[in-house]
Amino acid sequence: MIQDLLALCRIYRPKLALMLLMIAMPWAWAAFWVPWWVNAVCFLTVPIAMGILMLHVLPPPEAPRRESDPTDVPDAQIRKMRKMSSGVHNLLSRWSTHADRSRSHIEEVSSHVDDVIEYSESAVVEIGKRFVSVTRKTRKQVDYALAMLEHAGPDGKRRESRPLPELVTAYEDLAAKVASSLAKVAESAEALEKRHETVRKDFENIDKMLDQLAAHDSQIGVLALNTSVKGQDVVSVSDQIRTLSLESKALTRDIRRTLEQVRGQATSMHSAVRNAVGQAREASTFASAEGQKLSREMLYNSQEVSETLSQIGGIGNEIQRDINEIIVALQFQDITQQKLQRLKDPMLSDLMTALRAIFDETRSLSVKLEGSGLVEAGTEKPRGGPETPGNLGPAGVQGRRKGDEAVEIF
Amino acid sequence: MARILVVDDSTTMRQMVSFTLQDAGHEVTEAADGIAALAEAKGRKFDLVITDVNMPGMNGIDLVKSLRELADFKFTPILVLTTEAGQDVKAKGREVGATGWIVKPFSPEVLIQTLRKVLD
Repeated sequence: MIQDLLALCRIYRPKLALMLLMIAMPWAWAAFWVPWWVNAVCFLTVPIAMGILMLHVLPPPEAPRRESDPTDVPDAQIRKMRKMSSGVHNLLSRWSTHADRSRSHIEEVSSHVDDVIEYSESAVVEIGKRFVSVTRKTRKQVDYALAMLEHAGPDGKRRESRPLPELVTAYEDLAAKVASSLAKVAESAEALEKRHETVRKDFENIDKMLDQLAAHDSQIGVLALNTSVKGQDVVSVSDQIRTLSLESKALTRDIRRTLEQVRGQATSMHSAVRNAVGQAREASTFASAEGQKLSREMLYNSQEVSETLSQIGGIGNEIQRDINEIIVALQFQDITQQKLQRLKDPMLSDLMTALRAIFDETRSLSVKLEGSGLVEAGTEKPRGGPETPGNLGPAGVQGRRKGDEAVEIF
Repeated sequence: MARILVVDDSTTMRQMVSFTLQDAGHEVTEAADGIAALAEAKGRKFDLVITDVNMPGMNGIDLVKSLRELADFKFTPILVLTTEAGQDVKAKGREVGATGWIVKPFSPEVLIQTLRKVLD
């Protein structure tokens, strides 16, 4: 109603002063004879009277017909339409303000959404790259580990040193050979011990035989003494001496034979000892050379293993760095998501309020137009059911306009 | 190994921080906002608190202020981990008793280094 009154004020602008004069003249005439409060009441009633006059008493102001006005429409209707158009103008200007604000909000949201999409895309790309990198590096680690197990380099070539199991087997072989040599030396020592026992027995025999010889010698001495002292028979003494001499000769022969045996034993013992020493020396030299070789290989092998493990460790550190980068990228994703969330609530609610206001005013205008008789009832009625914010559609617009349908049948 | 309270309304961010801290051998307790964090803090002691600023319910600045009023947290290091990098909000954090300020996104190495400095 106030809007209508304002519209009429604009329409009657040239005559407003005259109307004021006409309404206020009686009051002005009586102003000096009435109490002050009557003056105040009269002063207040003047604009009210003007409003009532414009709204309900005066006919719409005469307006010259324009050439563009339809000839079949009566002047009164054209005037009424112009009056209505004034109200529509106000409404449209408010519409325009709301639409401008909504547009700027939508543009801002759109710009932020674009930023978020850009950040998210770059974060996803970064995460993807890092994952690929981590996968490749893990694969490399596995390759190194497998190569280490197969005792080959990363290029697939076999390493210079023998693998650890082969080295262990070689050590076992070496130990077996040394043990075999030591067993032979032990056998030789055992044989030597036996020969030594034989030699000892031979020496015992020689001692016995020498004792017998000494006994013979004593007997011969006794015989000689008896012969000279007692004057025994020379023949019998001579027989006894001959017997003793024969026995001594036999003993001497036995001693010589035994000594020959001992000499033979000594020679064979010497030979056996030489053989045993040779075997032990050979075993020692072999064990030393083989042991050194194997030790060198073991050292080299452990160095290679150490290098491989260090390479695997280095790649592990790189993987850790990649994972850190992934953590940072994921944070970017989360931060942009949070920012969008914080942006969404106030802006979209503001937008919804503006669209609801537009919807309400459109509805009100539609009702007024229907009431004016300028349009047929229902032709401009918005579709889409009751006026609830939920029915405003995704963009806050009631129903679809012509040409906006998802499926259009001509 | 330190006992650390991590406060952030974003699950992803909480998990990222927890992952980094646990990887470094620390024991982590998570809280989704200031009120939940305050409830945790009243129930047990922590060697360090890491909190976000913008959170529903009670924000990080108010949380730091409330924690400093508790006897157990008078001298406990409190790090603020946030996207806010403005001098005003940093000054506000310092005023209420925050020990340090880390701007998101954080680098795990930097977080661990800062943690060591603060705990030492």
